[in-house]
Amino acid sequence: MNLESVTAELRPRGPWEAMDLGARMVRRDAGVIYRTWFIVTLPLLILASLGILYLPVPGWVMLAYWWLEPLTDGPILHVVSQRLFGGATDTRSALRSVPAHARRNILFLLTPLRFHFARSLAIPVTQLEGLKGQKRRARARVLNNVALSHGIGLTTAYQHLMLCLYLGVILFGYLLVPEAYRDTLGSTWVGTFLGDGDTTTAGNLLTLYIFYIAQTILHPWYVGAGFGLYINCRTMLEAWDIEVAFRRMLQRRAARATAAAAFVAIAFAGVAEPGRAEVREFEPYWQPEVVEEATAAVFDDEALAQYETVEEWRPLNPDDDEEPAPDTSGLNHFFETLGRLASVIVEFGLWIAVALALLFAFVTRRRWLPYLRYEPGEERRPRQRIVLDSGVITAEELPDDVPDAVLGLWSRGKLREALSLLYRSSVFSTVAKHGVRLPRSATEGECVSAVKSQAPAALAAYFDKVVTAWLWCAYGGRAPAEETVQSLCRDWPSHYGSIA
Amino acid sequence: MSDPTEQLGALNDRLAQARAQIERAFIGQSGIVDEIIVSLLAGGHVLLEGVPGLGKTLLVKAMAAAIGGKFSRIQFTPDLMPSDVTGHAMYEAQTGSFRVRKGPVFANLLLADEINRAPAKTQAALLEVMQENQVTIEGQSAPVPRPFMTVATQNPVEHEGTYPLPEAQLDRFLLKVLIDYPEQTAEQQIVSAVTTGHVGDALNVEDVTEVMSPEHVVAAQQIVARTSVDPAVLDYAVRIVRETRQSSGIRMGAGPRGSIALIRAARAAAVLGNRDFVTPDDIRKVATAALRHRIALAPEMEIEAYRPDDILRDILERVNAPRQ
Repeated sequence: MNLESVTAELRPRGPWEAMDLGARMVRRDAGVIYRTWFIVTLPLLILASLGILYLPVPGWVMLAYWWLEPLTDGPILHVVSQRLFGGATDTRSALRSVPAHARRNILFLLTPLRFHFARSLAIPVTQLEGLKGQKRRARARVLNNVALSHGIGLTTAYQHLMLCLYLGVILFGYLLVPEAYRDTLGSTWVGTFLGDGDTTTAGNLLTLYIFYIAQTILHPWYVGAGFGLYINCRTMLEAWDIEVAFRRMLQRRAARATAAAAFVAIAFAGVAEPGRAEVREFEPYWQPEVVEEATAAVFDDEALAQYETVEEWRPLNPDDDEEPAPDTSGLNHFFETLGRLASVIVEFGLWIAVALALLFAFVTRRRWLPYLRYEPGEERRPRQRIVLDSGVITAEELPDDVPDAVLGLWSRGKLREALSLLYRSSVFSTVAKHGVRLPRSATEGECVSAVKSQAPAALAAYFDKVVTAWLWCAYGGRAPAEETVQSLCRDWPSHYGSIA
Repeated sequence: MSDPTEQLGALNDRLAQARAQIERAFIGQSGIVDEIIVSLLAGGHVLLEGVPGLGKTLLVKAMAAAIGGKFSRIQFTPDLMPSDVTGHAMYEAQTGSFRVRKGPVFANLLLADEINRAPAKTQAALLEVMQENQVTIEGQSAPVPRPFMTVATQNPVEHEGTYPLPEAQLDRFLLKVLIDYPEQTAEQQIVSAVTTGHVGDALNVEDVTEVMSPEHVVAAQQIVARTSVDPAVLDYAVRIVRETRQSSGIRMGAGPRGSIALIRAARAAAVLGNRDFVTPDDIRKVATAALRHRIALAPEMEIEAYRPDDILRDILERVNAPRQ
């Protein structure tokens, strides 16, 4: 195996790409491979046919033919591997390799390896490398770690395609039967393959030949794809690509080293001469014309006469700081103008947004200003803002002296407003001062239920009275008696104190 | 007894008696009984949904026994014809004329059992009667007796061979009432009541006595119609219904008929609460039953196994109750 003469680009590939490489190698040498294939397999086919014709166990004959399939792998692998590493790929050498491959590990080849799920990946180890025993197992283990699943996938795909082809040929034959004879000849045709009725010798032969057709179409490609997978595994595991790269680099360096040695020899040729020990004696050899001459002589060497073009990005006119004149023509000018217009609009919009934000802050200052105000010595109200989810009740909306405000409204004939204030103040204070948790969007009934379950009985009873008075006034249009309102206002401070 | 308060008090006494009578047969589901009474008072119709064996038919029979009047039952089947529901004209050879034979819809309380098992044509005939409160046979219109209430039942589990009611026809029902399994103690009482001193497992409403007459029901419906609704409460009801049209979990929200139904049912609930005015709590109380069959959930919510009740609960928590 000579990596320097490899005829394919060795680099780590994906498993499917590696299989594709193997298939391409088969295609490249399809002529040699198929010639070898037919020469090797046709005698086997003839033997199998004779066995079916003359032996009483045609089924066993067909089984034996199927069993011996791995014997055909060797020549295919020989062709593709020889071609990959620069060897001869003619039919003659392929045929000469058949006995050697057939002898190599034949028992292993036809017993455990015959049923190996990733057979195409494992066969090169035995057929090409000729490894046995512990070494073979160690190599197979390493390869399986890398590509076992894809090897199994390849075998599965191969078997399915074989089945499709086999059934396809049978169906094709059935379709060729004239419709008038479908019932008799057609069923016989299909029955021959499906074991329906008596299996005839002709049926056995046809089965064998159809299998052979499918095998001929698919098997070399299957072996080639497995070989591609195998090569890819070894490329990755043994860094073949790096080795090839180093070898090529070494070749190039060796050529340059030869040229450099020649150059140094010429340049220092006078140093070794004793009569020129003085410093001034060296000067002529370092004169530019002498160096140019020596350099030209070096590059005249055929080994160094290799030039390569290297491209790289460099700044254009690096010393020129002036900006190019703007292109004011046509489309560029239009887009530039459009961009400037858009920037003006966006800037204008942003200023409007800022103005609106400031306006909004000014309008809602009553809501947020108290939070910014520093009041030394005064304890902040515990919860100034009770969110009932149904609208916010804030302490600012409520008077400090609720009973007085309620009675004031009542005396002015604003009955609903008076009871609304009493109700809202009660809800606010119940939450703020007694820690009662109200459901979201609580209705009056839900407020009463919550207070009954979470607050002292006296407070719950008072709250119930307030809510009842509010409900009958607001929704029933029946205001409570003035004494009732006065009583509620009188009792309010004892339950809630003041809002502040 | 012309004082409205006294009228309301007397009505509530009778309603309490009727409720007690119904609950003697239909044990442990007082909420369901209340919803049925609300629908009766509001002059609406009810769609009862529940798995078999929960006493849907028993409930309606007990109600018929408690309020008197005529009771009819139609078992809806795939071969039921519209004329089997509404009635038909029949030729009489002796007189040489046609005689109108009135169908089972001419009753005060009609039980339409498994309404979704009849084809759309027959369903439409019944739903038309529910809407118009009259039947036209051979060009002659005949009103159904007052009060008239249809209680239709359907089984939520078995959908094979059924004709689901379209949304437009579901809208005709004032409430959709869901019957769930009873509690342990209630179920024990049911089993005891059915199996003690009775042969077989037939539904028994013999113990239910008539405490109201159809005339009483009509009078009660008049009282309900006069119940006042404050603009703030009306606004609350409408906001709830409108929210169903904006909720992301709902494909099709309730229409204005939903708002109307909500207010009608809330009025009846207020009367049942011995009030002649509607409060936000009345709205909350009936909202789910009045709206659950008027909304269609978005596909993603159905996939997530949400029910209309879940979405409506969320909406009711979102919509602000009036407070001023």
